[in-house]
Amino acid sequence: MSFKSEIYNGEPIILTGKEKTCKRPQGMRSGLEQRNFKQDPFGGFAKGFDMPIIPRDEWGERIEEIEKTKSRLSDLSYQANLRCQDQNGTNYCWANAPVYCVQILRLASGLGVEYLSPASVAAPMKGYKNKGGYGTQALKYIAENGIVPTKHWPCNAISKKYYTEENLESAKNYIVTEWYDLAAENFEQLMTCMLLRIPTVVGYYWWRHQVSAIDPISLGDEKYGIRIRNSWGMNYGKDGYAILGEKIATPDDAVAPRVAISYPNSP
Amino acid sequence: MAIILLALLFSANLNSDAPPISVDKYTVVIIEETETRHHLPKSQLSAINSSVWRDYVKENNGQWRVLDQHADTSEDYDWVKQSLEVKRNGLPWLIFANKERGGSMPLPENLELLMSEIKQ
Repeated sequence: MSFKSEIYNGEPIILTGKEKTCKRPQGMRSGLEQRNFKQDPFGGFAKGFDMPIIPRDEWGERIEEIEKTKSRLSDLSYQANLRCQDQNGTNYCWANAPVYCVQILRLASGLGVEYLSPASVAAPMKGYKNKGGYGTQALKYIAENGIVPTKHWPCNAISKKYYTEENLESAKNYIVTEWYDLAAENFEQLMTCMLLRIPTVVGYYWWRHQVSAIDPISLGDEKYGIRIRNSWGMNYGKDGYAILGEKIATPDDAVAPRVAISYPNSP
Repeated sequence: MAIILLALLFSANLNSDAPPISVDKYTVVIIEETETRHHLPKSQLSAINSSVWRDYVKENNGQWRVLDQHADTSEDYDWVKQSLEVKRNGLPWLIFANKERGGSMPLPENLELLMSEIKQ
């Protein structure tokens, strides 16, 4: 009998994309735009994924090991009480997902919980308009400019008044220095990142939404999926978590930040 | 057999030697290369990422880092910078220390062995 992952109490499993848990909260518009491959070709600004794929016949055994040793990224997140993002009416899911991935990378490195502002990434990129984008675009900005902590730039504040010299300087401590660009529609690459505990920013055109992929999941009978953390607040799913089955978990846009600047929490 | 025993004793002594980094509290550091994580045995990868040893360090009012060997630590604490300068023979690498003593060695192959090293 194949291993079946622990599902958190109340955590939804989304297999078709038609489930109620996929419905956008009231007032929330779609935020993911199709990636512009002319502007951001695969492997362009980010290194193309070049690791060997972990074979499917190892997945079940590896996931069992990960859960047994409490080495899921969600274990670290629960351990530190890291809250999920809440884009709260903005169209900035595409910036919330990479910002969450940076927060969890820092947490896994021992830098603690520092909440960072998705609006500090998305708003300057979009001329302070509440507009859509895609994760690769946001990560590119983060790699060049970093992210301002929410104590200096509130997470959903679309306002130029926060674009100050001091804030731009503080953002530089949260630059991502190494990352992978994953091929579109490639579940094997995504699963390899999950098994190696590399958080991944995943965009889904069926959902017109971008989220953070966190853990690999075995659904039993050789069926697999991923645990995502959404940016619709802690009341979504189980503390922001949900499971996506393979069919709909295969991303259209995916980037995986691996290394961020080792900078202790700001005072 | 005698040589093996001597080697074990010697390595045990090394582990309880002077702290490899200068710290004022219990500290655990793992240095790795994230780009080659796929080469690691799954049990060692789990050891790196486990919340179990992090919990232990936290319970002992300690501090910790898991660092990529190329991470920019220029703005981090001195003990973090020192960790990257400790001589090592490969990766992943484990460093643990308190004020009086510590160890520096290849990262054990699984979580159980890692726990037994850092609990010393």
